[in-house]
Order: sequence, then structure tokens, then C-alpha cells
Amino acid sequence: MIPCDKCSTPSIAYQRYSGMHLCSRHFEEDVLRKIRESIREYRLLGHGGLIAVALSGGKDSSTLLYVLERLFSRRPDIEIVGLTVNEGISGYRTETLGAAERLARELEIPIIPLSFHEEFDLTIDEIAARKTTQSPCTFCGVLRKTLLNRAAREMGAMALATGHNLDDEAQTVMLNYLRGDIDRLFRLMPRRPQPGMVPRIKPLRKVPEREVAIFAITHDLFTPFKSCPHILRSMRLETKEMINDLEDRHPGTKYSIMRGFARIIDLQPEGSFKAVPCERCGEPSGEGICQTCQLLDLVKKGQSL
Amino acid sequence: MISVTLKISSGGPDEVRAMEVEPGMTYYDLLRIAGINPETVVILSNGVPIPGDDLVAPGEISVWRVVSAG
Repeated sequence: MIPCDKCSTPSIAYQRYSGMHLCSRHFEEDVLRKIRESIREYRLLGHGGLIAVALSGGKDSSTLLYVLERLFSRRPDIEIVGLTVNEGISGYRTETLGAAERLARELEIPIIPLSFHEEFDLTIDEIAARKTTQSPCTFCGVLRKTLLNRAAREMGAMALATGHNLDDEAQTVMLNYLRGDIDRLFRLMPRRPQPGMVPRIKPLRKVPEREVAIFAITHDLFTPFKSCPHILRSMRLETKEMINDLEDRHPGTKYSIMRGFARIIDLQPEGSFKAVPCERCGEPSGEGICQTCQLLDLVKKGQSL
Repeated sequence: MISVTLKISSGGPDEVRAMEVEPGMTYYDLLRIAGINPETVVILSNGVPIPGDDLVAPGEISVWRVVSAG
């Protein structure tokens, strides 16, 4: 048994990047502190309003919903609504969505269910069967983002909260560096609100994925891990493995990546990105025709980009 | 030598691995010998997470893969 560095009861976690051993109470305190700090930095919730929470039923979004409810249930000016997206992945999504619905019921948070089939007349299983050069993960990510943003906007949400953790953020930053895509890097944290886009908040962005899992396990929020059947080896996955190898050898690497990113984002030129309405569907886009319409065209034509 | 059984859960059926390690080794050492990056798992003893730098004790531990792919 290794005692907690703050109170000497048995520790449940060792943070190699900080050198701290923490018991369940002090571990929880540390996670909640990081989440509160992230939320404060967005400066969005000071005047209250509606928070739309993207829910998949996995450990990250379950932890997010649980913590937001805990932090804001006593604020009468803040309302929380969950959004679930059924992408149409048989044998996978139905199970995790069941977990999301159960948790929302327990926390008495309403849910609005969304689905690719209803919105786009397509499922990820159907897209994967057509074998375009774009991976199903690209379709899934782009279509999900569009659907969540539209639903959050239509319900008048002042923020769309997602369960991205420190690992997700460090991967995205590193992946954009590796691809030399600085425009996309800047878009991760736009300077100004973009027309038609509900500001996104990522309250778990300072909590390592492993620690989100420990929090979920110790709060009975952990659903057994299951991989999407369409998962492919991708550059993102390679980046994830690379960062985890580095973190194991050099604890603190993930936080360093994000510290560097915070410095770079300050150098973002004014007006470097401005969303315009898509010529086809009117949703906010970085170019004339949005990525969603481009991808849907691809499937309809049965061609590759 | 210390005998330890690892029950590794990755979503499917558990993989059970019996290992023998030198006294004085930590769970981090054990995971690395088993080819598992400690950053991607949580180690539990009797259902409770334990710190990876604790010394390996004889018996059974659970290793849950918690880092999603992709």
C-alpha cells in the first residue's frame, strides 16, 4: 500500500507527471479542480443558459454528464440536455446508447436522440460497405459534428459540451502539426464565436484519458470497453500510440503538447478563420460547400474523392 | 520469485496470464514485461484501482484496457 500524499489513506492513483499519490477523495478533488478550471477558461457559463452535452455512453461522456450535473445542479440559471447520436453501427452503438440513456435517467437529465438514418438517410454501416477512399471514421466524425451543432443551435444552447480528454486534445494538436495543417490547428480554438456554430466546450481537456477511466470506475460510470467494428489503422491511432509511448518514457509530455499549443494559439492572426454558410445546406462551413455535403455527394455518386 | 496472475480485459473475454517476477518489481515493471503500456490501462486489486509504482504482491490483479482506439 502506498499512502496518499495529502492524507495518508491508501492511494488509488499515481500521477507520474506530478509525482503525487492520491486516495479516492483527493483524486476526485483533483479531477474536479481540473474540470472547473477548464470550464472557467471558456468564460461562457457566467450568465447561465442551456448546455447541450454530446453523449455516447462511453466513459468520457458519462463522466462529463455526471460532473456537469454535480457542478451545476444547484444553479437554477443553468439547464443541461443530453444529445445522443445513433450513427447506425450494428452491434456497437445500440449498447453504448443504452448506457447513456440509463445514466441520464438516473441523473434526471432529458435526452434528445439524433440519428444519421433520420437526418442523412444513411448509416455508417452502409457507408462502410461502399468502400470510398475516405474512411468511415471521416464520415462519422464530420456528420456527427454537423448534427450535434445543428441540434444544439436549434435548441438555443449557449455551449455544446463534448467528452474530449487530454489525450484526445494532445493527439489532435500533434496530428495537425504532423500534417502541417496550421489552419485546422487554429480552428481548434477560434478567437471569436463563428456564425451558426454553437461554441464547443471540452471540460475534460486537462484530465488524462487514464484518469477519466479511474474516475469512471470509482463512480460506477465505467462501461466495459468495446471497439467500433469499423476502426481502422489510421494516422490518428499511430499518433495516439506514439504519444502514449512518449508519455510512458517522459511523463508530462501530453501536458507539454498542450502548453505549447496554448502559446501558439495566441499567435493566431485576427480573422484567420471565418465560417460562411454552405451554399448547399446553409450550415456553417470553412469553404463554399461544407465537408458534410461533399462527403454525402461522394456516397451518392458511389465514387471516391 | 513472486507469482502473479493478470486478468486482462479488453472488452472481449478476459485474457489470463500467469507471470513470475523478481521481488522488488513494481506493477509498471510487470506491465512493461507483459508488453503493455501502463498509460493505456488501469490496474485493480479486488475491484479497487492501485498505483502502478506499488510493489507487486503475490495473487491476482485485473488489468483493464481503458484507452479507446481511434
